[in-house]
Amino acid sequence: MLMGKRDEVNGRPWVTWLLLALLIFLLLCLPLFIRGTYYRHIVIFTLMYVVLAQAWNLIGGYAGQIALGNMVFFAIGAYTSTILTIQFDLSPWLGMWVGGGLAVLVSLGLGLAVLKLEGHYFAMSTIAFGEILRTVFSNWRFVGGAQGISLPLHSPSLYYMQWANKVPYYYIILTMAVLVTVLVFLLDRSRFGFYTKAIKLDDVAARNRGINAFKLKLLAFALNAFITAMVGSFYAQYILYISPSSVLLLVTSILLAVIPIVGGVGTVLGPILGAVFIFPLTEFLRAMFGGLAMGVNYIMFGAAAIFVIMVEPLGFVAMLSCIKRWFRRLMEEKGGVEVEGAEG
Amino acid sequence: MRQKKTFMKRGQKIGTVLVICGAVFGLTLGGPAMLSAKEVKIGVIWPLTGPNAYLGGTCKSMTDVVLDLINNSHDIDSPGDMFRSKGLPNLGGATVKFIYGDDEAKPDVGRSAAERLVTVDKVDAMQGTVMSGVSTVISQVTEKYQVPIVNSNSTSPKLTQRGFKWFFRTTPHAKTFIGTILAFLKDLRDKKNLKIETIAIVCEDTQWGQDAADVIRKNCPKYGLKVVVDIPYAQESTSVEAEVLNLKKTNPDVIFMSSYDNDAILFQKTYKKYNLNIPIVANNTGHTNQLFGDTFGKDTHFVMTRDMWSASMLETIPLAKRLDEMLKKIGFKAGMNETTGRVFIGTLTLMDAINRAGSTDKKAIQKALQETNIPGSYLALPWEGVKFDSNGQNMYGGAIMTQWHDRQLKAIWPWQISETDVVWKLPSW
Amino acid sequence: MLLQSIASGLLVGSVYAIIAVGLTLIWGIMEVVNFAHGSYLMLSMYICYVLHMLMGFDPLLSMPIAVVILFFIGIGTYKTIIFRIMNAPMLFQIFTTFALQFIINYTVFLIAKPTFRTVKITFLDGVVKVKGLFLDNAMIVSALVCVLAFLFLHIFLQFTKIGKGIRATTDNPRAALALGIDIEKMYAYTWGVSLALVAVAGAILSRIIYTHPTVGDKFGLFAFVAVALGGFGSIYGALLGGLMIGVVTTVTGVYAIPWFKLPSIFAIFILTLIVRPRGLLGWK
Repeated sequence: MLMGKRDEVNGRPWVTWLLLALLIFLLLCLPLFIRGTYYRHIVIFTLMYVVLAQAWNLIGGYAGQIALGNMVFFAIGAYTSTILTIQFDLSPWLGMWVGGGLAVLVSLGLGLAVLKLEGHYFAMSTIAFGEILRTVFSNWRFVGGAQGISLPLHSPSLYYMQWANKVPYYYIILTMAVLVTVLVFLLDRSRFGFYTKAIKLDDVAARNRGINAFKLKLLAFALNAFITAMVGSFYAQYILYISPSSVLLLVTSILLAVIPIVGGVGTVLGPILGAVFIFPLTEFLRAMFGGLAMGVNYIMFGAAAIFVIMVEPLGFVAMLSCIKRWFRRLMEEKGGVEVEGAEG
Repeated sequence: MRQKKTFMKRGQKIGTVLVICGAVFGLTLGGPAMLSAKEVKIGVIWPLTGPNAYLGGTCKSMTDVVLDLINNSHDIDSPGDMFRSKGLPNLGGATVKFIYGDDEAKPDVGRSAAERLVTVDKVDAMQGTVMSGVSTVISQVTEKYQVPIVNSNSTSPKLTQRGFKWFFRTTPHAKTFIGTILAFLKDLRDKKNLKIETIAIVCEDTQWGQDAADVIRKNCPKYGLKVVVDIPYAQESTSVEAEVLNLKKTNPDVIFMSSYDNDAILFQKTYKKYNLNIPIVANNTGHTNQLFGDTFGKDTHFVMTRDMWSASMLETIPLAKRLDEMLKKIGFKAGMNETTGRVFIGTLTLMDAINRAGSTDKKAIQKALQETNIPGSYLALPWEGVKFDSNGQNMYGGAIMTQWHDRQLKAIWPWQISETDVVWKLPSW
Repeated sequence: MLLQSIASGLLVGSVYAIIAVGLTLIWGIMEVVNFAHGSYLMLSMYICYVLHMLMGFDPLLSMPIAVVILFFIGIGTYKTIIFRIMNAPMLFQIFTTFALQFIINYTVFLIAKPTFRTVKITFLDGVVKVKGLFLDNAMIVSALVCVLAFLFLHIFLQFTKIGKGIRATTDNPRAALALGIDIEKMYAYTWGVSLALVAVAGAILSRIIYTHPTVGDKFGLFAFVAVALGGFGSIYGALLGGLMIGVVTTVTGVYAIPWFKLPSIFAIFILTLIVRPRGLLGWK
């Protein structure tokens, strides 16, 4: 579980760095390979989910509190930057940060109240909070009520963060995804990661050593809120329409938790794998089956999800380490090569 | 931790998952199958799953019927005589193919579906959808890619106020509909000397209901009506005791409702329970469905609704009767109603435009749509016709008021077309 | 009017309570979170609908049948899926039962189509007026059934062999195992009983509300709030929670801003948890 992307491969660290550089390079060139708008849309949304999943990972994976109301922060980000743009002509580039800040405040308020609660109760409170906000937003004319807000078109424009082409959006969300992953990686390796893992292993002992679990959880929650809100602002600029039924749904909040779970919670790679697997899968199922026989895509999605979790409850990340071990054993047997560093 | 029960060996498990992943990605990137040439491809988006799945299914039944009418030979009159030939006559008998997308009543999903239909399936034109919020987003996509789209069921006035050039709406919007209702109430008050001064607004809280609530609230003063209570309620509510008790407490002269099927049923049951005897004027949908009539029988209790359809039209409009039969034949038992009527008009308009354009060139179709002028005799509802103004809004299409008498909806207004007298003073349940 | 609101609220709440009790049973005894609870409610409603269509049965008559069917479905669900996630973290339980909800809902969707179906009944329909209060007959029945169900449950858990076995397993699984109690069987029975309770609620609801593939979801959500409000694992807590939801939503809807009806219960929920972090009657 202490595995990260930059594990040592065969005792030669630079191989890992090389692979990473290659990956980054490929990602940067991706728009050249994928030219279809629909497919670019899938890639952008997948990256969005990567960021959201990483954010959730902080509170749900590391801090171990299952939050099922994250769309609240997403909505705060989306609505704040949008309203600021419409009312004050403020660029979303700045509005994003205001939204993020607001989300942090809300998360601190909520967190102080409910983070002390035990797992199930905490989860239920986040659901409750999400539902409250959804109903409030649906009936609050200032934010457009149930009809939502259509963003005024300015494209193409850097100031208003709108383009006709999808490519700039791709790079923005790619940057976010990379930054967030680096952040999670650093946190994982830092005291934050160390302490949260300690708490997970033995709550009481950790506390006896002076680790303030509550403060850590609050921090995780606030970070989660901030990142999620930023993505919300991005979403608003990309889709150009926000409404309670698109940004405050309970189902989506739960999906945000499902993705890191399938990928592997509490790891750096997990949310990425989860998002890359789940989102294209849902789109594919919808495309193939959605119009054909009503709802079949949902059945398949549910079945696929259960299958994955039955096979490997620790998610894709654990599966990967299995593959690595199996591969290594294969190498050992085949060439009698001495292999070091096979982690348990 | 207890011993995990494994049901597959590790290796097998991993192998299976990898294969599935590979399949998923391969197929996703593979794209859809190639379609034959000489075909007109239309993307159609309806809420096939999700909270409005019933409406979506209804709409799809109708578009399926129209597909049959176009592609096969039927002895029915139509603009350009499309139904008697196989395929579209002006395109050399080219078959029409509908590629369906599901928006799940969510704007995101609708957008995905629209993008897929436009950029991957490369449809020539589109129709859809029902929820105004989703239609907003879908039409943003079609406007960007310059694909003509016909909307037959969304009623938010904002849709045709955006200056879009590729969006055409055949259905009248909320302002027209609410206008009908308010005019009716005023007429009742003046001509029949009834006390109609206070009104309660009870609408479901998603876009459709809220739109209706906003429009009527704004216009009530003009008609001399005072809004005494505004009760938005959650769609798919589990109980409406509170809302109904609130109405009992406030006791308005008339109640205005905008409900979907499930809510309409729930409210009616609750009204009966609490012996609420206030006249109800509804904004269609849930209250015009035959399901409502069948469920309640006598207990429909003279609910009035803005409507575009009444059962008498099966007699007065032969086309409607044919469509009703065709719907029932493909398994849609409810048959013709206002939703299917409007869908029919939308699809017909689109087919007519493509036929007149004589090609699948999108600009040609757009121009043909702008020049649309379909006389009312070809329509399944009693409208004067289909003709678009510069905003893409159909200038014709009015509503009437109908009232439930037992299981039947009878037209009550305008007076010229009324089949029966308005029952305003309600008997006891 | 206030009295009426409270009375109506209590009656509505009794239905939520029955559903909630089943949920808290599973949580209290097995520590499993069941997100698919609402879907089973929906199944029960469809069973009653089908029996009504085919044989003309009033759902009250179909209730025992639905109860038996769902009892076995409960056992079946446990043996095929739930036992695998028994000791998994809450994450996986939520996840699996959530996916289960999807599967059940949409399979029914596929088979039954999303048409709204209603059961038309005349027996025991209507209202009874007591001291100027309108009391829905169907709901009085539900309240009575609720009381009876609680009584049965109490008797079952206290006096029957299986019931005692379940209680022993809850208190101390290892000791129970040592005593020769087949805890797997106990868990399966618990699921069965829980779903049987849901079946009762479903039979009642099918007379009151429309039947539809996703009708159970909102009830499931309320059941969760009721359970958490009352305290996970406490049966009386679930009862209390359910009734509270009924009363609070009704009274708020009548006297406060109408749309605040639902947020009010969620707000009270959060506030209650702040003050009593284990729910009103929670003991874990």
